[in-house]
Amino acid sequence: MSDDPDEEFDLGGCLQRVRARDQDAARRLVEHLHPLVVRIVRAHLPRRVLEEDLTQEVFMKMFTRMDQYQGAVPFPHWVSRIAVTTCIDHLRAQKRRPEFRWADLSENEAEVLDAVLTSENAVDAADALSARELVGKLLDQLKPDDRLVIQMLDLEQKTLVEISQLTGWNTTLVKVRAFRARRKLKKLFEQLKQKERA
Amino acid sequence: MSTQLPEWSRLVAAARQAPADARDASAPYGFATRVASRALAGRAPLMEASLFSRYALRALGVSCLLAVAGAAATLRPVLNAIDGEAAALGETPVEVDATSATTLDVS
Repeated sequence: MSDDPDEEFDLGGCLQRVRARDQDAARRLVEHLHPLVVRIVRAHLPRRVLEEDLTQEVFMKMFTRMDQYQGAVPFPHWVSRIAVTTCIDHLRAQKRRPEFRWADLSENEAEVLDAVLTSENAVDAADALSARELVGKLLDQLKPDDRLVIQMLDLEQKTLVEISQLTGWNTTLVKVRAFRARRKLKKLFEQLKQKERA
Repeated sequence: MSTQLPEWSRLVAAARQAPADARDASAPYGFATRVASRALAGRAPLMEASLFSRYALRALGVSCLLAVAGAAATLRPVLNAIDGEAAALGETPVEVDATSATTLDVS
């Protein structure tokens, strides 16, 4: 028996059996794709939405649209796209974004932000977790589409083509959204600097 | 990454150094079974529902057409009957007295 479950998993055969309404194959397909889907969901989970609910929604969409899958891209890529678009839909549904305030930051986050604003040195690696939390809070200030693009570009270091494939947006639109997001972030940093001085 | 945003660049560079999410990514117990049964069970009723809604919409359209056609077919005889009854009573069906209307407005 191999250690790698992917080596044993016959995706093509499984899909055929799912199309023939084999429930056991459907269960195995969900188990196989769950790590992929849950990673995307966790990375783009909107506030007040449960991870498990969103993951389940992604899988339900996958089964509903399975007849539309033509095999032009590998099946996991196709499912990734469903996961990303489902997350975007939920992020868009959140009309209100929380205000970014110094007072709401933890002590570590405030220190990291202070260091970023006042010093040109790199942030200490020990503060990486706080930096990540802070990045999340700053990203919450952006429009959902812009947030997704800048998160994928800067945090996950995906290429424009990869983002385009995952979202279905063309690369020009991705660039426009990245530009818009950075402009908003710039304005936000300027405001934070002024507040800090005040 | 944008060089015009050094603060963001420094912050994101630090954030990328954070340890990867160590949470278990495998499906929770019973999740896959529940989703699979729901997905496969949900297909047949969904098709029946869409079939029903398709025929229900068609039926609604046909009934609307029949209602309009019925109204168009019976409108003239009904109007003629009203005119006939009004003529038998020696009155015009609708008569507006301009002076009385003005008087009413003033009072």
